[in-house]
Amino acid sequence: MSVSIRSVFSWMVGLALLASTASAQRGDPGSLLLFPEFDSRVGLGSLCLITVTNSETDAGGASLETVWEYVNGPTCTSDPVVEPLNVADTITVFAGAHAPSPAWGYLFVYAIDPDDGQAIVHDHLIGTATILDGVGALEYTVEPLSFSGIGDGIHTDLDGDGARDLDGLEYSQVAERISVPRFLGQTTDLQSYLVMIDLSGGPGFDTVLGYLVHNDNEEVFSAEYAFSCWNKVPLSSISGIFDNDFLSNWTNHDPNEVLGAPTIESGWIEVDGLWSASTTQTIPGPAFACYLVDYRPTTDTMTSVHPIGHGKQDNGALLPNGEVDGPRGSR
Amino acid sequence: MNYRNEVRFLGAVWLASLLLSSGALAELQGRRSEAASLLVMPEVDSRPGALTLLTVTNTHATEGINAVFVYVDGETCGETVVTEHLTAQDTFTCIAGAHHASGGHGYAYVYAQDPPTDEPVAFDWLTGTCTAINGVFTLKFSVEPFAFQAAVPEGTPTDLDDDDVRDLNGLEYRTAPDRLLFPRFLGQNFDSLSSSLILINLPGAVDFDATVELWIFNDDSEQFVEGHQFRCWVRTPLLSLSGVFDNSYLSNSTFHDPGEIVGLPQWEAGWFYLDGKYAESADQFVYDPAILATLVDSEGSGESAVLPFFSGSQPNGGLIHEGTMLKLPPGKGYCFGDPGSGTPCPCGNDNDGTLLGSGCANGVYSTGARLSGVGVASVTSDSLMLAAVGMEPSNSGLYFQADNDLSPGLTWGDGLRCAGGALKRLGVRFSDASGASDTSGLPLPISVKAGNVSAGDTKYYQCWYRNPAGSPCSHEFNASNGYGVTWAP
Repeated sequence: MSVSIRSVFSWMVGLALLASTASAQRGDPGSLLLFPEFDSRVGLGSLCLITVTNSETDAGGASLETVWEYVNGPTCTSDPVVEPLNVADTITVFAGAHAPSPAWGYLFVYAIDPDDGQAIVHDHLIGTATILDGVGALEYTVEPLSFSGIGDGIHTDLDGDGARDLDGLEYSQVAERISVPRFLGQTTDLQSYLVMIDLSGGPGFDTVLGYLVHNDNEEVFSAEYAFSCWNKVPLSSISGIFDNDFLSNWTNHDPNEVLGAPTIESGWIEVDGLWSASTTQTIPGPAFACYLVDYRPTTDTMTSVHPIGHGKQDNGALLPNGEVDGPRGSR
Repeated sequence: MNYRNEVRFLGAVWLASLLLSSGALAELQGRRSEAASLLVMPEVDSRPGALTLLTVTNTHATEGINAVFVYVDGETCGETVVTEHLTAQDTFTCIAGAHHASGGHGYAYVYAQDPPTDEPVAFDWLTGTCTAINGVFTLKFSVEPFAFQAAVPEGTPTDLDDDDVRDLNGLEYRTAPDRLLFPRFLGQNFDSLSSSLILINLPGAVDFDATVELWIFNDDSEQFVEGHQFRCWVRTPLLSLSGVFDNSYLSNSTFHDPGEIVGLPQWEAGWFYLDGKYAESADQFVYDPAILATLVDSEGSGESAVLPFFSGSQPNGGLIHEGTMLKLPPGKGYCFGDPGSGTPCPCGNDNDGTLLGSGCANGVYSTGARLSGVGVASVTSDSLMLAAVGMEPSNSGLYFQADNDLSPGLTWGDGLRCAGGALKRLGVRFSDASGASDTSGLPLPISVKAGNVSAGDTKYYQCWYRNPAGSPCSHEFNASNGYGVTWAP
């Protein structure tokens, strides 16, 4: 790239990118938090510790309640729990003791007015989730996506449909595309999982995500994967491209990388929603969220790799029982 | 770079913000989950027995870039610099200890550099991650970097003041957050859990001691405050910062919620936020310094990181080379015409929010005019220069000084009066074709011209300017924001 290229075109590229910052973020307090993974099943080897905090510290702040919707991935059904959250208050729970029924999927938490139960703008919610193994050892942290409340400045459910619309009108949007900054070549001793959430389809929809997989020398491969509602799948199930031997022996990779450990291959991934389809409806460009978890079986240790978002997608929504309202205008 | 060039650069920044008129620059604070021109990896451990896996990826589809890796040793603040070229869509992953020979334990930052000129450049396409592993490749935890997008247009140089510092000031790169909000901590010493806080001092390098305040809340909103002083970078146990974090203390000596943690109520939890209080060296003092931080929980062989949420904006941070002293602005803007801040502009002409900290919208620029300062405000060595952008082009403006801060402002023509009392006219200047002017051409230094400035005084400055072209409230004059300066000896 040359700095001599200072054209209007490059400024417009900058504009497009900067404009994308209005999408959901990790790091900004919000009115709605989306935790990509929780596990409240008992006796299955993992525990999930979830925290939601009201970071408003002004003593004159309004009292607040939060609705926790635990969505079970396999069925796309959910159970709500309502928790009060005073000024500067925090609540930490083990999901297995808090979720109404055993489930494994995703969780969203949003602020409501305790008097009328309506979803409200309260951009002070922050949170985190930590996955522990069955004996309480720390595994990895799940950072929630944070959505700022918009609505009329007080209430968010502008259309009164009961959905938390991630459309830039009720709440900020999700990203249109996602980049996972790195993956490591898959072996029997390094297994990674991609957690995927469909935010446009529902229990009756199959959602297809498209993947562009880049090795460590700019060679790119494509793959697709279909899922419904929520899933956590091995990278090796999505494509054989992620296999360390494939990357090492069958691609034009950089033999010197990973620098310091060149037998380990690496690359990065771009993910985009292609379509979400039921028997009666097809949604192009569905909204979705995802993140990556690395697992090393011999040491039984894990880490999570959080993605970067690009652009905005305005057809996402969150509803109880995994229902969705589809793209705007199609209802 | 002389002040004239600096003003020219500021003008360029402002012009860019006009082109980005959709409000794209309204958000000037660094983020986590976006591609950027500068990434800060909060911990890199290259000591024996520890490994850190670093990745930086260029997500641009067609353009390559240099990625400059700066490894900072936390103890000495010494730097090791390694440059890697990333072609379009390239990724680079390394074991940090194999990438730089200096070893040590600290942090790293990576910035985009233009390959032909070796200048730092706006290139908001870098992403990355940082994974801590131990010597036998046991995964410990991953942290995403703090991401700072450039505050100048894509492809242009970022080092506007030519000081070789990556300034996180909203002019070169986005600002650091003012406060870091940690959504939870866990009671220490419960079931062998221990946590550490990683702290990065942004206003100063090895010469600065920074003091931060921790505002700690238990699980029933009870509040405690502690201070902590550090230099450069540290990873320090939570219990060394405050005994409040101890599980037994929280359980036995505070008004905690006996029902929480839900599912394991013997274990206490809470949350805290960090705010910089001050940073000082032998000859500089920075109020409310910018800092970055990350929390790491450890239990047995497992570790996990808790990353903070951000609140507010702090423009006094920079990633500083060893021994470099930060160039601080001589004053601070106040009394803005921003939507929803202070006194509303006289006829609903609040600015459009795209030029941070400016006055009310005028008939030419909906951004309003912004007054800022450069140089040194010292009564014995006065090089203070005031500069304003966003005024009506090729028209006159009066720079003046006053003794009183009139915040949140009084309606005044098409704008707000922010300074009053003991008024001193500094001089009339004509704006150039872009609507910018400054005080550099005045015959006397500002303190001499004003005549009533003593060391320790705080004076308030503003620029009144003519605006007959499209005057939004028909008064045909307007005003910049206010700018307060405390004069040094």
